[in-house]
Amino acid sequence: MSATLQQRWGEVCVSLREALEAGDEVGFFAAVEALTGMRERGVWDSLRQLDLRLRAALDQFRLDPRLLRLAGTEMPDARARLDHVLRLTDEAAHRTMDLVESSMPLVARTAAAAAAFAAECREACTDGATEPRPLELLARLENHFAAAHADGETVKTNLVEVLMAQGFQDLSGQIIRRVIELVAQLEAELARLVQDSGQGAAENRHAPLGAEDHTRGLGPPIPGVSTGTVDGQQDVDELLAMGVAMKGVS
Amino acid sequence: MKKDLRFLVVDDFSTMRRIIKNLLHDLGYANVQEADDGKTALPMLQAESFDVLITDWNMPGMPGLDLLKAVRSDPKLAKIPVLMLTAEAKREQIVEAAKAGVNGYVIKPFTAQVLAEKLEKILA
Repeated sequence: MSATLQQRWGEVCVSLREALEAGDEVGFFAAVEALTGMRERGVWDSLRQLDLRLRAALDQFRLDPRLLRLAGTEMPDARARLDHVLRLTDEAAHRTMDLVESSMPLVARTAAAAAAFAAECREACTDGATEPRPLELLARLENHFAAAHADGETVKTNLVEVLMAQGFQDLSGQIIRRVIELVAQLEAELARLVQDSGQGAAENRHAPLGAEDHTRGLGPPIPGVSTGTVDGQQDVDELLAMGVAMKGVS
Repeated sequence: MKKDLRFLVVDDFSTMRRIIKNLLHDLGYANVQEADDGKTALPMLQAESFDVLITDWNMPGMPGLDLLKAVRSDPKLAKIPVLMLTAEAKREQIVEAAKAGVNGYVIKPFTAQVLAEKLEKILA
């Protein structure tokens, strides 16, 4: 038996043995009680320590400004950002489909008219150029080409618009990237919290989340989230002129 | 407008580079090269002679504002017209870009007409 074990348990064990040998029932059970009481105290100490660690972790969760900001501001912002992405993709898909739908009848009409005229031209050629029909046919052909030209221009404009509508991928991609960064921050914060509660380290960290650095870019403005943003291209042009003027002064 | 001008289009999204390239082709500019951020663009600008730089702002690596500053501080590139085509819409950002020497600033989403107008203005 080691010295520590002897010191801690020796006395109560001696009392237990002496009471047993003397047939002292009251003394024996009093020694047993003392023995179990000593054992329980160890368990209670462990439980108390665990309780303290949990309380410290919860306090930290409540007080940590980074977690508060993540939960209170950044997460609702992330939801608004994802909603905006949904709207962007929805609008782009509908805009593209509208343009395709309005282009299809124009292309179909031009193609059908061209096919009909091709057949008529073949027929007119076999009839011979002396018939009056070719003149009338030429007049209708002229109208057809004018209509085909107008339809072609409209389809071309629609195709440019279809191209522009794909810009949603850039804008929604930038927004999603910011949400991914936020999720990564949250993941790191939660991992740190779990680690701290396990180790019982309850110090409060006041380092702020990565502050917004507009020189690196903030991504597209989000309705209801972004503040201090311009209202359209005209606003941009005026600010740009102002900035250039300020540059001239400084 | 001279149609043989050489353009460098810098944007980290390939879809946006494609859109700009197509619009430039539509305007008659066929000589267009691409880069996906400032870090890739800067050596290209230094190695070749481009006439116009069109750049996004928010890009990993080197953002557009840093590219603009690097271009303006390089005596060989200082005079190149720079058009910023970006979703960055904070008022102080636009003023900052102007102070850094940007020639035009187009906000995304944009129209083909706005791009044509701004290009015409900075190339006049």
